[in-house]
Amino acid sequence: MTERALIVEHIPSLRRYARALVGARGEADDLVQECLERALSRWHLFSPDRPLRPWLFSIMHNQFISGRRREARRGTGVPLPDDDMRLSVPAAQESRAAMHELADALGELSVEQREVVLLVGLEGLSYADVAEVLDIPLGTVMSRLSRGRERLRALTQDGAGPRLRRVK
Amino acid sequence: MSDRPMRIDDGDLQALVDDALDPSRRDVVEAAVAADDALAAQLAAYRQQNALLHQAFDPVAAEPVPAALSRVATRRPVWRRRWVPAAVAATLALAVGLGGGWLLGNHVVPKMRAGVQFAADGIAAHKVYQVEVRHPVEVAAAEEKHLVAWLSKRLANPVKAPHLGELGYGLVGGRLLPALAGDPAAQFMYETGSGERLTLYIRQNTTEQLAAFRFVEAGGLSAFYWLDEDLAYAIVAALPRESLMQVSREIYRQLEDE
Repeated sequence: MTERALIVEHIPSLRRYARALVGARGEADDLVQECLERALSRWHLFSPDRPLRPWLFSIMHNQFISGRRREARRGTGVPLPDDDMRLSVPAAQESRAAMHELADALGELSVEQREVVLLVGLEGLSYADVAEVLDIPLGTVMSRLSRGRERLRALTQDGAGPRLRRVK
Repeated sequence: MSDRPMRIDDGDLQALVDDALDPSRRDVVEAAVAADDALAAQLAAYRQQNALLHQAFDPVAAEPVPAALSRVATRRPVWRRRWVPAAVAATLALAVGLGGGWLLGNHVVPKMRAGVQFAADGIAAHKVYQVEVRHPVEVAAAEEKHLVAWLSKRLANPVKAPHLGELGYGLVGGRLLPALAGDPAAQFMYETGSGERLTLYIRQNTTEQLAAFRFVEAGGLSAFYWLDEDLAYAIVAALPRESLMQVSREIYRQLEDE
């Protein structure tokens, strides 16, 4: 069972993805924790000849989605993350604005689009892996990616749309 | 349709951003993009998005992993060592169950197995509180954190209130109860939208016996119960066995699956 130690290697990227996905740090790490616990409890279902990383992401996806359903049924809306919580460390001054803007825009994507944009653009998963992680057809991955990126572009382009710009 | 020499589609553009094209196709797509300002702007914007995503979130991956998380990943799966045989037994036990009606009778059934006695206590507790309108619980679900911490402290073991929203049960709250020999027991109460109640009864397992998932019924109430090394659990409701089994499996999963 030493393979279990392999999971540890993936914690940093799971945390990165979770933070980008849900925003707030505490919630993101809760999601990572649920994911790890679930992965360990289902370790016997993992076939060692398949890559571990997509499997972990698929578990995180399932935990994330069922968590959202629970919240929705309970009627406690997930508070919109503050972008200062979303971003972990201050970046260089000149690019900070663009980063904040993107992080804000990310929060306005649908969950479906956000997941695909992040798994591909941030985590570097192949389209085929994303299809497996999210359990959707490849064509759906492509259309969510395309629409998600285009939406992000519209949301972050200067002068595009009715977005209020932060005054700092 | 078009007299443009090269036709590329949106998938090509995305794949170019993600470096997912084979070299020959990439040349074609790059040429097409170079010849089209709108496509070039799109490509540049998407690449910029990826760069900003990394800039924003890579620092998270570079942080030291919180101890709580690395502990989760490295701790030994104690529960599984304990529960694999139990889980196998459970699937068998599910098919058996114990007939009932006698359980809540006025006389004590001699040599009752510890688990059955425990389940009977859980059923009795359910009976008492399921009818309560104004005071079904001592601490309401709004204070779930406090409730769970308090009951965990009193039972000297971490207890959890399973989340059953997906099955239509909302947590009403919970209470502390006296059990045999002055030991405390805990009860979580759940309710459906139409007011059907289900309780989860928990107390320390002091019997040194273990029991896998078992079914009993008495007085119109059904219960699934099990005894693990630390705690004993009974799930009680006025439900047919099959329906209760569905909820019970989910509760069992949430309580033991970690």
